[in-house]
Amino acid sequence: MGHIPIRRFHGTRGFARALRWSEAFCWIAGALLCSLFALAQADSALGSTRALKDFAESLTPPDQTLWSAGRVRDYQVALNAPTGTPIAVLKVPALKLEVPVFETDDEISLNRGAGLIAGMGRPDQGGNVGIAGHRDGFFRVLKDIKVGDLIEIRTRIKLHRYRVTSIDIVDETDSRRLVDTELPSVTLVTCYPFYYLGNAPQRYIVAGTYEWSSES
Amino acid sequence: MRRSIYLSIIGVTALLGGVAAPALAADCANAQFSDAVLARFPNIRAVCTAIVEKEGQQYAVVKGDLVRTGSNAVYMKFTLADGTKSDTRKIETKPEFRVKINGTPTRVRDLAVGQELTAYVKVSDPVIALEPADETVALDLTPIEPAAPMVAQTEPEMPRTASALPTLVGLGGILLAFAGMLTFFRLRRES
Repeated sequence: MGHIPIRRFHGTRGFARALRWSEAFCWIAGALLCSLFALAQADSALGSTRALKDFAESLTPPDQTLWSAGRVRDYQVALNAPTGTPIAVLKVPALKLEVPVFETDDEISLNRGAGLIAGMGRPDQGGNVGIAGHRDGFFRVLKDIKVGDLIEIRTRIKLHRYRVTSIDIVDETDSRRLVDTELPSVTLVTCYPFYYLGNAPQRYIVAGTYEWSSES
Repeated sequence: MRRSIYLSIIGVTALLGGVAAPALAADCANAQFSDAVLARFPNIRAVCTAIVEKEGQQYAVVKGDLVRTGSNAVYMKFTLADGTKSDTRKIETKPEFRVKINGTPTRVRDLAVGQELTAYVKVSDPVIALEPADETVALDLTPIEPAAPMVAQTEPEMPRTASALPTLVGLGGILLAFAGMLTFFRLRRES
């Protein structure tokens, strides 16, 4: 009974069936894509919170007085292994940004926090420390960062402080800002424009120099 | 009697002078740095905080900030008397070497930039060593290398910070809107 108006409207029964299938497909695919987004958002929030908690716990190592030397060594290796535990926590107090920093800048890491850029320095080892983050996630607040703002990176060894010295927008292939520096420095990288559907064509670069007065 | 008192005073004075003389000599300003040391480390007097004697040799104590760690090497900038920093200096270490950080023996690879370290420069030879965690361990002296840039020449690739999630949710929204439109028209025709 209900098929008759559709047949009349579209002319053929096959066309009506195709429309029904299209309708069902759109509902299912749309719901799947939105669910995927919701899952990713949940993973981002929960993963970040858990990573920050794990990092805080790793700052107070267990009592190793009864451990064998080999076990202590393995424990240290495990701490430095590229697992889900972040290697540091990045803070920008002026923006109330607190985000775990992971060993790599792969998709999962960037969904849960920020990641070290391959080939650049590490916070404790010096050089130009490159940290990447998603512009539609944790690093969106960087749009409000200002020259002179404080950037803090807490590793398991030390709290490093940097002062923002420049904010630039460059082409997505322009990696000159990522080159090594003699003195410790930090470079935060995210996509630009901050509100853009698809692959953003530029990069937002925040550079900072080391504050030598910092103490652990 | 008076003569003996005078002799005693002279003797004590000479004795004190004898003790004090090396102490006066052990001073950064008048330490006899060799020409080789001065050539390799021209501002050694400005960064020297004290002269100490170890294993029968005089060493200038220098303190500075760690600016980079490498594989079995540290790069330091020493603090000059006026508070400014020296050129960066590289000090090589052995894999098993430990320095004391907050009272704990620490491997070089576990050090962090910004930490203050102490080093010894031999007054007579252009060699330098980090202060070991265990004071009974002999200094691991390495030649003072000329200050040189230690910057990696590689140019890293720009990271892919563009997430596919906004595109996905946008596409999902469009599909849901289209599905809703189809349903709406279908229900309208059916009713």
